[in-house]
Amino acid sequence: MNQTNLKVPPEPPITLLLIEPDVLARLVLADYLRGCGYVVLEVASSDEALEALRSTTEIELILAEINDIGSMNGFELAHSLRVSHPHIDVLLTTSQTHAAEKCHELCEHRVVKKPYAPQDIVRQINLLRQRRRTRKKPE
Amino acid sequence: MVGEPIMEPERDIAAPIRVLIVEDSVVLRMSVAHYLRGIGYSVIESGNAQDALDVIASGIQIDLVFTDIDMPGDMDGQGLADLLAVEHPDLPVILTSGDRIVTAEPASGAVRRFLQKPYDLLVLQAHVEELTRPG
Repeated sequence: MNQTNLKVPPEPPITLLLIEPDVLARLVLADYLRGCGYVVLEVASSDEALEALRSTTEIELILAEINDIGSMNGFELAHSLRVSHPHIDVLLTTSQTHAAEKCHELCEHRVVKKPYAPQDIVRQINLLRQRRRTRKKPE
Repeated sequence: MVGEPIMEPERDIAAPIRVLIVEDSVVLRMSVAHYLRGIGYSVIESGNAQDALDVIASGIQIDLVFTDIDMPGDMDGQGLADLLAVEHPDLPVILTSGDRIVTAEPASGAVRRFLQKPYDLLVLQAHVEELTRPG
């Protein structure tokens, strides 16, 4: 059989949850990510995120602002999810200068500094997915 | 330039119709937004009236607002609809609530509909299609 004729089923789109309190920033990034083929769920706070997580099992990745996102900040949410939803990758965003270093000390969650280009987010998402795929490979 | 007519920006007919959903129940909002996106609408999600006003003030083209009435914050959905009837009378608004029924039409003649919760998404779709139909 000719290998090139084998039909490879397309990968299902990744569902990601975007946590961003600024509605305008959120809609711009969400639109961009949808244009890249992601299914994007939008929430304004960590509280809404937890509610969304209770209602769906499809979320594979969370993109969260670190600060001012409700009763849990981005770090706290990421730590909590590591226990409750270990299959979900977390990508944090911030305008704080030292947050990236702090995050690196605390955990392995990635931080993208604001202002960022939407392409930076997609690049980081791809890196996270690649890392997860590598981990999943049987030895 | 003096004497030149002021042109209103024309709607890009190639762009999808954009619906602004204002709903504080995140699960319901996500579900309605997902449904409308699935049938071809561009959807902006807002959890309160102030965010909705920020979106409208930003100049992004909005073709219809679908808002819950009972929401936390300084302004509820009724207040939002009343404000839009004055400031954007051409912008159709669909109100929804599980508790209240709104029958009064806005004085300005702005287009307003009411959908009782729980609503059928097909009924919502029919309203959205009718209210955003060109012409």
